[in-house]
Amino acid sequence: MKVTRNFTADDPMVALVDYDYNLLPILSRFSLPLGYGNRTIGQVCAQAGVDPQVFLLIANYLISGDLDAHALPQVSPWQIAEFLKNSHDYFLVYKFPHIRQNLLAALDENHHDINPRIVEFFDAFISKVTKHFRYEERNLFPYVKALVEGKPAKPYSIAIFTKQHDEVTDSLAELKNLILRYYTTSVPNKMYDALVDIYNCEADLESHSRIEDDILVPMVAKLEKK
Amino acid sequence: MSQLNIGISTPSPLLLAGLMAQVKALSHSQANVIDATGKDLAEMALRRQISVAIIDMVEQSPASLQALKEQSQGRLKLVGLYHSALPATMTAPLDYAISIYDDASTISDMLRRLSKPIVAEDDDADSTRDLTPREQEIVKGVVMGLSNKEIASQMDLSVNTVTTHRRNIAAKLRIHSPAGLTIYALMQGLVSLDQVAPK
Repeated sequence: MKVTRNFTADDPMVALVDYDYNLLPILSRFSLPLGYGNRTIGQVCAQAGVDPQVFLLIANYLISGDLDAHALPQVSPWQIAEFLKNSHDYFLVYKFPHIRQNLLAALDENHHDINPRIVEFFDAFISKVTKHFRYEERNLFPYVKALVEGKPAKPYSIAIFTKQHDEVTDSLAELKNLILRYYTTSVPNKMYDALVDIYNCEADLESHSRIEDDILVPMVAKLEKK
Repeated sequence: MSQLNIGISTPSPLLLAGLMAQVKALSHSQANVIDATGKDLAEMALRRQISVAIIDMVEQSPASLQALKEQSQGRLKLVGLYHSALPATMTAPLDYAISIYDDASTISDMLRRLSKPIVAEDDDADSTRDLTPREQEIVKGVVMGLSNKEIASQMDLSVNTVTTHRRNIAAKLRIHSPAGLTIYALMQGLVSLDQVAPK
């Protein structure tokens, strides 16, 4: 059995990336500047104005699948919500346009009649995700903030926020399938790149929903009981 | 016709030599037969060196067969070569089984059955073979923007039947949405652009 490591603020940031480079998109979503040198996770976070406890809670959870019971009480659900909000911007402003551009570049001229459909499909996916993100920003996050600050919140409960995430990743999975199984092209290099992007993006979105479902939702449910 | 690439794995040199000769002769040299004894059959299948493995059941267990099935990711057809009666746990993962006492006609039948789907897989003209003609008709209906009810009345089926077909189509193609099915149908030439429902 693989023994997973639990990182602390004193470990070098480079060691964390070496241990699991799948965390790189998370580092990107925290907007941590590169050029770590020998600095520790605590130092890198402090310099970027990121709470190392929040960063470690999320990073260790994604590595191990376990929530650090000691770190949990030191992190506020609002901090998690803020990270999720930043992640939304990362996806909408940076990641999706980037993938879209790569997808456009990969389309084969021989399919000039079908290509617009592929692009429409991807755009429909983006607007579906955008709608979902906006819903959270308008309803869920303000609720979390009010709850943390002890203010009377609008009547809303975390129970209302059920798992809508599957729908979002479903259409990405479908696009992946369409390209992989049915989109024939004799100049595939760029399309392979676009596929790698789509696979990575799917994994990113999955880790994003795991943070929401497994960290934020239980935190808020606990706070609601108080 | 495409070549059938067969690997044989048995600890018996006599069986190996006999089977290789028989298969070659009966396939009229359409089959390429190699000695795969002691080799990683799943790996050979993934590298497309072989698509059929004839394996001596003396060396196998239900677990080893299951592992082989999984590791080869559907790229390998398994033929069990048996000496005595086998329990169902051993025969279930097999695509075909031959006894060491079987005659040439059984070997011929095996070759005929095994070469059929593999030929179809390599045939680009028939790449929608996954869908039955009826399922293809239903995909066309969906792509043209018809409701399940409309498809049902056009094809003289019940709405329930259409729903079942649509579930099967989604499972086969891993495509659920009408937009995705449209791209699929255009790609496969099931419909032309002017038949597709406007967005």
